[in-house]
Amino acid sequence: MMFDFDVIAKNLPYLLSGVKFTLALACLVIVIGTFLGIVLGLSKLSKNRILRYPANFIVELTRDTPIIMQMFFIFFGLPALGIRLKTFPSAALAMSFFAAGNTAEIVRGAISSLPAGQFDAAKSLGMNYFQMMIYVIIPQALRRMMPPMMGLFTTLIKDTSLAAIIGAFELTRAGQEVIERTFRSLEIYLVVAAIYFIICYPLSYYTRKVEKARVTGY
Amino acid sequence: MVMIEVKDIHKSFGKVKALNGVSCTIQKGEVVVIIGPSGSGKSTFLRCLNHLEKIDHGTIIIDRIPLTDSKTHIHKVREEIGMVFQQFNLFPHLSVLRNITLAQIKVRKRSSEEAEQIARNLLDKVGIPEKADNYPFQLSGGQQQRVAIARALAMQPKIMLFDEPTSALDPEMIGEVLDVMKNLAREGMTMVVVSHEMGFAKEVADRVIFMDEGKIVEEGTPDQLFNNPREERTRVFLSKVLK
Amino acid sequence: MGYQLDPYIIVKHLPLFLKGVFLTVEISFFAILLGLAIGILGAVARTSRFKILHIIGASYVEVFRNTPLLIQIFIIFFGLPGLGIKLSPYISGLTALVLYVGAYNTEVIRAGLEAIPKGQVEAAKSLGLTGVQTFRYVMLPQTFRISLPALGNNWVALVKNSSLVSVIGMVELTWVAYDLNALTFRSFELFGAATLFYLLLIFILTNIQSFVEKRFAYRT
Repeated sequence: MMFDFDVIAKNLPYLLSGVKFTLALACLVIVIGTFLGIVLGLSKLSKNRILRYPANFIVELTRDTPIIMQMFFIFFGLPALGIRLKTFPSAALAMSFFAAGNTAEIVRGAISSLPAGQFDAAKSLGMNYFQMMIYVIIPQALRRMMPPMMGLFTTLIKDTSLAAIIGAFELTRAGQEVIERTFRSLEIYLVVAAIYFIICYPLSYYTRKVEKARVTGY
Repeated sequence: MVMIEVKDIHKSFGKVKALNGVSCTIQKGEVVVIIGPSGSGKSTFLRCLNHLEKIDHGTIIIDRIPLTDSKTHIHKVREEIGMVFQQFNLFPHLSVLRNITLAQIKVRKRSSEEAEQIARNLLDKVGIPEKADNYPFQLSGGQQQRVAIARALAMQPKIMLFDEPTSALDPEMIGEVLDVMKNLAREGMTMVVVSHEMGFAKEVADRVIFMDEGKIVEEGTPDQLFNNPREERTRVFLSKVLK
Repeated sequence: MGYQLDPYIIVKHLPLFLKGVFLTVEISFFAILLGLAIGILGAVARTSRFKILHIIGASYVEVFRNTPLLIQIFIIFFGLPGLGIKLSPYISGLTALVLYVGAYNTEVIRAGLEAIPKGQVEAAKSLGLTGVQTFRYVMLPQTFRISLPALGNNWVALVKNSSLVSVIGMVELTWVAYDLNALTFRSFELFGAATLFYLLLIFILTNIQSFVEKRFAYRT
C-alpha cells in the first residue's frame, strides 16, 4: 500500500491552523494553573487548617483523576447546574484545575526541599512571614520549581489533544476532520504526532539542560 | 543589669523531654558558654530564647520583654537577639552584601545607603571586606560563618546567640571565627554560646554551664568548672572531652 | 434549576460500572508489568556500552514522551490497519499504554541504575560475579528501591491514562460513564461516580506503593 505523501501536503495548512489553538490552550492553562497552583501550594503548607484541608482536597481531586473525566464532568455535568460551557472553555477549565493541582505539588515539594535553616535564619533576623517568603523562600523555591514546571508545560501541550474528544478544535481535532474526508489515518496521525514532537522535543531538551545547570548551582 | 531571665522552662518534642526545668539569669555583657553531651538540650535552650522553639511551660524574659506567643513580643525579642547557626544559613541566592543588608532594610527600615555602610563596616570588622559582592558558594566555610556573624550584628542586637558556630568547619578555619567571637566578647556583647571549643570558654567565658538530660547540672567560672567540678557527671563529661 | 440528583442511577447500573472498573484494573495491571519489562530493557539499552543501543533507546524514549498518548493510540488502532496490521481494541490499547509508560519507566530506571555507587559494581566484579549476575543480584534490586517512588508516580499516571482507551471502544470505566451518559444524561452522577472510582483506585495504588516502599526499606 502506498504511503500517500500528497494528502499530507494538501492538508498540512489545515493541520497547522489547529496548532494555534493547541498552543493557545496550553499557554492559557499554564498561566491560570500556575497562579492557582501557587495559592494552593502555599495553602497546603499553611499551619491553618481552614486553608490546608480544602487545599489538600482540591489538589488530590485534580491530580488523581483523569483529565478526560474532568473535561466530561465540566462539559456534560455542569449544564445540570445551569452552567453551559462551550468546548474550548470546558477543556481550558478542566486542564487549568489539573495544572493547578500539579503546580501545587511542585510548589510544596520545592519549598519543603529548602533547608530548615533558611527559615530559621530569616525568622531570627526578625522577618515576618511575608518578608521571609518573598525575599528568602520563594526566590529559592522558584529555581527548584523550574524543571518540573517545564515538564508540566510539556505534558499540558500533549494533553490538549484530549480536548478533541469533547469536540474542541485544535491539532488533534483538525487531524480527525482531515481523516474523515480522506480516510488516510496512518499518514495524517503520523504527521500530527510529528507536529507535536516538533513542539515538545525542544522543550524537554531545554528542560533537561536547565536541570543539569541547576545541579551545579544551589 | 539582667538581660536574660529564664525560669523553670520545660520543652518536649513528642515523648522526648528536651528541657526539664531549666532556670538561668544572664547579665548584660556576660559571656556564657554552654557545654554538654549531644541531646542534653543545649541547642533547644538557645532556640527557645528567640522563639525558634516554643516552650511548654515556664517564663522567659529578654531585656524586660516577656517572651510569649504574641507576635509583637516575638518580634521585639528577635530584634534584640542575633543568632549564628552551625550551618551558617546564608541566603544562597543573594550576594554577601545583600545578605547583610536585606533584614536591615526590610525589618529595621534603614535606607539602603545606611544599610550598605553598616554592612561594609562589619565585613571589615570580621576581616573580609573584599568579599562583599561575592556569593556564599564562592566563600570558604570560615568566611561564610564570619559573614553570618556580620549579618546578625548588622541588626545591632543586644544579645548574640551562637549555636555550635564552629562545629561544621574544617579545623584550620575554626580559629578565624573564634577570633571574631573573642573580639565581640571583649567589646562587651552579651553572648550565649553553645560550643565544644573549651579553649574559647577558658579564654573568654565569664561563666560556663554544663547541661545534661535537659537540666543544668552545674555552672561556674571556667576556672571553677574545668579545674574543680563539683558534680560527678561534669567530671565524667570533661574527662571524655578534654583529652 | 430543575435538576434533581438521582444517585439511584448508579446503583441501577452498578454491574456495568464494576465491569468497567475491573477492565480498568486489568489493563492497568498488565500495562504496569509489561511496562516495567520494557523500562528495564530500555534502561539497559541506554546504559550499555554499544552506541547503537543508546541511540535506539533514546529515540524510543523521546518519541513516546513527546507525543500525546491519544495520538499513539490512534496510530496503533486506526493507522496500522493501513499497513495491514489490524489489532483489537484491547491489544491496541494495551500496546499503546505499555509503550508510553515504558518510555517513562526507562528514564526512571536509568536514573536509578546511574545512582548506584560505582563501588557496588567493583565489589561484585572483584567477587567474580559475571555482568549478568551483577545486574540481576546487585544492581536491579537496588535500582528498584531507589526508583520506586518515581515508578509509583508513573503507575498512577498509567491508571489515569487508561481512561483514554475508551476512545477506541474498550469498555473500561470511562467508556461506561460516557455511554451511560449518552443514554440517561445523568452526567453529574455518572461522571461524579466514575471520578470517585478513579480516586479510590489511585488511593489503593498509592497505599500499595507506600507499603512496598516500607518493606523494601527494611531489607537493607
